[in-house]
Amino acid sequence: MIPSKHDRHEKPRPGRAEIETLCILHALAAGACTAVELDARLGLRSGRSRHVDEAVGPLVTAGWVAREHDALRCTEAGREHLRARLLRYGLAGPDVV
Amino acid sequence: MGEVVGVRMSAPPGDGRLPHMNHCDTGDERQGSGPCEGGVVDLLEGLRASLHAKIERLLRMPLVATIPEVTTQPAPHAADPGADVWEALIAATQNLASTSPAPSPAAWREDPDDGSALVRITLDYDDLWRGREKEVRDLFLNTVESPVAFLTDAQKLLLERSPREFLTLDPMPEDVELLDFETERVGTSERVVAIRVTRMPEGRRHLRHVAIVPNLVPLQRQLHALKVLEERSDDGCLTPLRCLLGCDDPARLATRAPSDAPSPLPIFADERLDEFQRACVAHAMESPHFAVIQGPPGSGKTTVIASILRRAVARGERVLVVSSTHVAVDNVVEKITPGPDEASAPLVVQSLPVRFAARQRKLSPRALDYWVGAKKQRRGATIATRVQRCLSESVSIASALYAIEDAKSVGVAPLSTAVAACDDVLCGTPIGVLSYESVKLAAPGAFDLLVVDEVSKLTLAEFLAVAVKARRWVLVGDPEQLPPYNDIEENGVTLDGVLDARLELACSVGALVARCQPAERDSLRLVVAASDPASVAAVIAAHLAAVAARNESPLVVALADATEVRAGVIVCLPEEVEGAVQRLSRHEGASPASSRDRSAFVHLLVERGLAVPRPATLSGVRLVEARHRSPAQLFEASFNLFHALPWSRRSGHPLRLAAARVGLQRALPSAKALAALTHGPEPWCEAMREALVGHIALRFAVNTVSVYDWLTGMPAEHFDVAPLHKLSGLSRGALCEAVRPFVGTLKKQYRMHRSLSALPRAMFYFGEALLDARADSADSSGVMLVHVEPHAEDARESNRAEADAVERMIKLVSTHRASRGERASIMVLTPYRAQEALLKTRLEALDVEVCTLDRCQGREADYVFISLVRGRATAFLDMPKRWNVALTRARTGLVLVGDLDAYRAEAQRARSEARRRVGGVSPSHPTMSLLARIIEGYDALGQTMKRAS
Repeated sequence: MIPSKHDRHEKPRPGRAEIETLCILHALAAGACTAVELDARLGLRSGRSRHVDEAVGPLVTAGWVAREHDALRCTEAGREHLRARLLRYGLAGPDVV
Repeated sequence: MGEVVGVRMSAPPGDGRLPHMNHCDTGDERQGSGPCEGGVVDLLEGLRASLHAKIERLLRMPLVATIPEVTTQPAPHAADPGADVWEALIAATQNLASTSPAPSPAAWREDPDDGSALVRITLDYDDLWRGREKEVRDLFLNTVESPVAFLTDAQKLLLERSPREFLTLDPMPEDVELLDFETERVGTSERVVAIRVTRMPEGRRHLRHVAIVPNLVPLQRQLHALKVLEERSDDGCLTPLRCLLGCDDPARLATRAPSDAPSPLPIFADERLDEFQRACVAHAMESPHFAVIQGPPGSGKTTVIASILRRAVARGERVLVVSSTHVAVDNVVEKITPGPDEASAPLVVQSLPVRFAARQRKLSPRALDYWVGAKKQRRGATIATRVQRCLSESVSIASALYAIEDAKSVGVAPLSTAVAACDDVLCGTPIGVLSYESVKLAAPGAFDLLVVDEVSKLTLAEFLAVAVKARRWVLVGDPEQLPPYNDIEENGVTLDGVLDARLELACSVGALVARCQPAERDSLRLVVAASDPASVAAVIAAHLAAVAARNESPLVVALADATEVRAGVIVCLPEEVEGAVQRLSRHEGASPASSRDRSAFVHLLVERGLAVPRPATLSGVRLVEARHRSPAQLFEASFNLFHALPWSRRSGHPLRLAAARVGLQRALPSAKALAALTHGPEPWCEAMREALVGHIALRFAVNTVSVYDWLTGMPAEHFDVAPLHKLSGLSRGALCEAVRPFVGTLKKQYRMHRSLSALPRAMFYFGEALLDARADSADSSGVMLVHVEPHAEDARESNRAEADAVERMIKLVSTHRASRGERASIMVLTPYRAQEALLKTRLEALDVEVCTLDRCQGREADYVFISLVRGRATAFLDMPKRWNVALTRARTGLVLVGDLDAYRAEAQRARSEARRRVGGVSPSHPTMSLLARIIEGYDALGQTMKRAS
C-alpha cells in the first residue's frame, strides 16, 4: 500500500520559520542577554542589534520572550514551547534545554 | 523664456524676426548675448527644453505593426425577401455583429521547446516610408530584450491619436519581451516581417497589432528632479545640486577643508588601501557635499567604493550606489558580498545590498543572488541561506532541525525576514533604482550618501534624477575613459527649438555637402521639400556661399527654375517632389556604381514638420536620414572634437580633425543664411548667429558633457572652434573651487603587467597615473602585434580574415593553457557590432567573451585580443578615450590584430611629409591617426611582431 501523505505516522518536520524561532529561543534559554549579544550567539555577527530586535518582536508577542530594559529573556512559556517542539522533532536531550 | 534667443535687440526692417523669437525677451540688453555670454546662464531652462524635446520625439515614434489576419466572413444572415424594411435592417445588423475574423493561425507560431512565440507582422512602409526602413530596423534592434505591447484595434487607435493618453491607460496593454526579429529584403531595403517574443500573449484572439511604445519614464524622472530642485530653494540639503544648476550661490555651500576633518579615518584590520586610495576615501567621508575620485583603469575604484560603503554604514548611513552600466554595479555588489567560499560570512549591513533591476538577465551570477525586481526577487532566498549557515555554525540544534526541514512549509521566518528588511545599501542603474519602492517614495535628501560609479558616462540630467534623493555625493569615474553615449538623433532633436525649420534645411544641406567627397559635389542630386521653396532656395544658396568655396557648392534652384538642371539642389513644395525627383533621375537602365556612391541616388531632404507622399519613382531615391541632418551632425562633430582636442593639445599629437571642423562650420547656421531668411542688417544677423551658436553650445553641454566635467571644470581652454568655444561661459567656476579640495586621483594600477601599462600611461595619462603597483611574475606577457592582410570583399565593419586569425590564436592559447592545467580568461574586442557578431559566431564553442570597444569598460581578462577591422582610421576610431579603455583591459597579454602595415605606412608617410614641409627636420609629432600612433608606439617599445599566415 502506498502511504498517504496524510498518514499520521509520518514524522513531523519544522518549517524554516519555526527553525529560526526555536534557534532564537534556544540561544536565549542559556541566559538573558542584549540584542547585540544575541546576534553574536546566533552567529549573525552583524555587529548591531537591529536584525535581532525585529526578529524577536513576534516572539515577544507570543509571550515566549520578554524584554527587560536592554535585555531579552526567554520566558517559562518560551522554554516550554521549545522543549515541546524539540521533543516533537526528536531532538530533546540533555544538551538542549 | 524664449527658446532661441534671450536678447532684446532692435527689430530688423520688414519681416525680419524669426517666428519663434516673437516671445523671447530676457531683458538682457546687450547685443550679441546668448546663453553663454554674460548674463545668467539658464542651464535649467536648457535642460528642461532638451528633455521636453526628447519626450516629444518619443511620442512621435510609437511604431505600430499589424498582425496579418485571414478574413473569414460567416455566411450572411439572409433577409426574408418578404420582410419589411425594419426586419431587413435587423438582418443586416446581425451580419455586422458576426464574430470578427481571427488572425491567421500562420501569424502566430509557438515554439514548444522554450515557449517563445513567432509573430508575423506587417508594417505600412508606404505610410512610414520617409526613409524609415533602416530606422524601423534599428528601432527593433534597440528594443531587443525590452517589451513590445500587443494591442487591440481600439488601443491602437488611441496610441496613434494620443500617445500621452495611451500611456495613462490602466491597466496597460499586455507587453511581452522581444527576443529577436526577422527581416526580408525588398529592393534595396530590409523590412521587418516577424518578431519573436518570450511567450504567447494572453487573449491573442483580440490582439491585432504590436507596438513599440516609447518608455518616457527615464525622461520624466529627470524632469521631475529639475522641478524638485527649482521649487525647493529653501531645502539646504539640495543647495549643492542647485549650485550645479546655477540656481544657487556656491558661497552658501558648507565649507570644510580636508585638513579640518574632526576625526581620522577609522582603520579596518582586513583592509589594504594604498596612500591614494586612503586619501580618496577620506575625501569621500569628509566632504559635506561632493567628493570626486578619478579612477584610471585597474586602480581599485571598486575597492575604494567598498571601503566608503563600509564606513558610511558604520556611521548608520543609508547609501545608494549607482552606475550607468550593469557591469559596474555588479562589480560593487560582488566586492561587498561574500564569495562562494565564505560560507558563513557575518551578516554585516554592507554585505546585504539590494541589487535592484527590472530584468535578471543583465546581472552577473553573483549579483543575481541579491537581485530584487519589480515582482520577483532572489535576495530573500540568499539571505535565508546565509542565516541558515550562521545558525548551523553557532546554535547546536540548528543543523539537526535544518536536516529535517519541510521546505514547503509557509510562515514568516523572523531572522531571515528581519535581515532581508535591511536595505541600507541599494544598488542599481540611476533610473532603474528609482523604481525601487523605498527610493521612489523617498523624500529628497532621504539618503545620506549617493555613490556614483562610472560617473564620466553620466550626463547632468541623468545624475540629477537620482541625486535629489541624497544629501552627499561621491562621484567616481575617469574623464580619460568613455564619455556619455551620444545618441546624435535623440540629442539633435533638442535643437528643434533653436533652429528655425528653414534654417535647419540650409544647415543640413551644408552638412551634406561637407560629407561629400570633392568629386561627388558636382554630381550631387538633392531634392528639398519645403513650405516656401523660393525663400528656402535663397537661404540654402546664401548659406553655401558663406561656408563653402564656390567650386565646392552645388547649384541651388527652386523647381520652377530647374528646367535644364540635371544635378544640384532643387527646392520644391511637398506635392512637387515626384516631379523634382524625375527631373534629377538618371535615364532608365543606369544603375549606381555602388551603394556608397552618393551621386548615384537622388537624395530627398524634407523640411521638419512636413509630410511627403512616397514618390512612385522609388528606386534610386534616398531620404536624408535624421542622423545626416545638421542637428545630429552638429552633435557628432562637436562630440568628436570635445573629446579629442584636449588630448591632442596636451600631448602635442595633432589628430586628423579637419573634417570635423569643416563639418561643424557647414552645419552651423551662418549670418548670411540668417540674412537671406530675415532680411535683417548684417550686424544684427552676426549677433543673432552668435546667440544661436551659444544656444547650440548649451544644448550640447547639457546633453553630452558628463557630470564629472561639470564638477571639475570643462577643458574649455582647448576649444577654438564654434560652438565649443562658448563652453567657457558655462563653467561652474565657484562650485568647482568649492569641490576641488575633495577631488583625488587613484594613481596606482593593479591590473596590468608592467609591459601592458607603459603605453597607456605615457599616452593617455602623461605619466601621472597608471603607476605600476603589481608584483609581476616572470611569466611571459606583453603586447603582440599581428598583421593580417585585408581581403577586398570584406565589408567596412567586418573582417573575416581577422576573425580567422583571432579564432586560430585563441584555440592555440586555450589548448596550451589547458595542457598546463591553467585557466585563463580571454576577451575579444572590436570597434564594430558586425565584427562582434561574426566573432561571436566563430568563438561560440570557446569560453571567450566578445564585445565592442564601447561596451568593454569595467571588464577585464587575462588575455585580450583586439580585432581592428579597418586599415584606415575614422573619426570614430580617432577617439583617445576609446583606445585608452580598449588597451587597458588585459592583465597579462594584449594582441592587436589587423592591417597594421597600413597604419605603419600611414605613420611613415606622415613623417616624410612633415619632414619635407619643415625642410628636412623631423618634427616630433606629425599629423596622423591615433591608431597609427598607437602602433608606432608599440613598435617603438619593441613589442613582438607577427604576421598571420
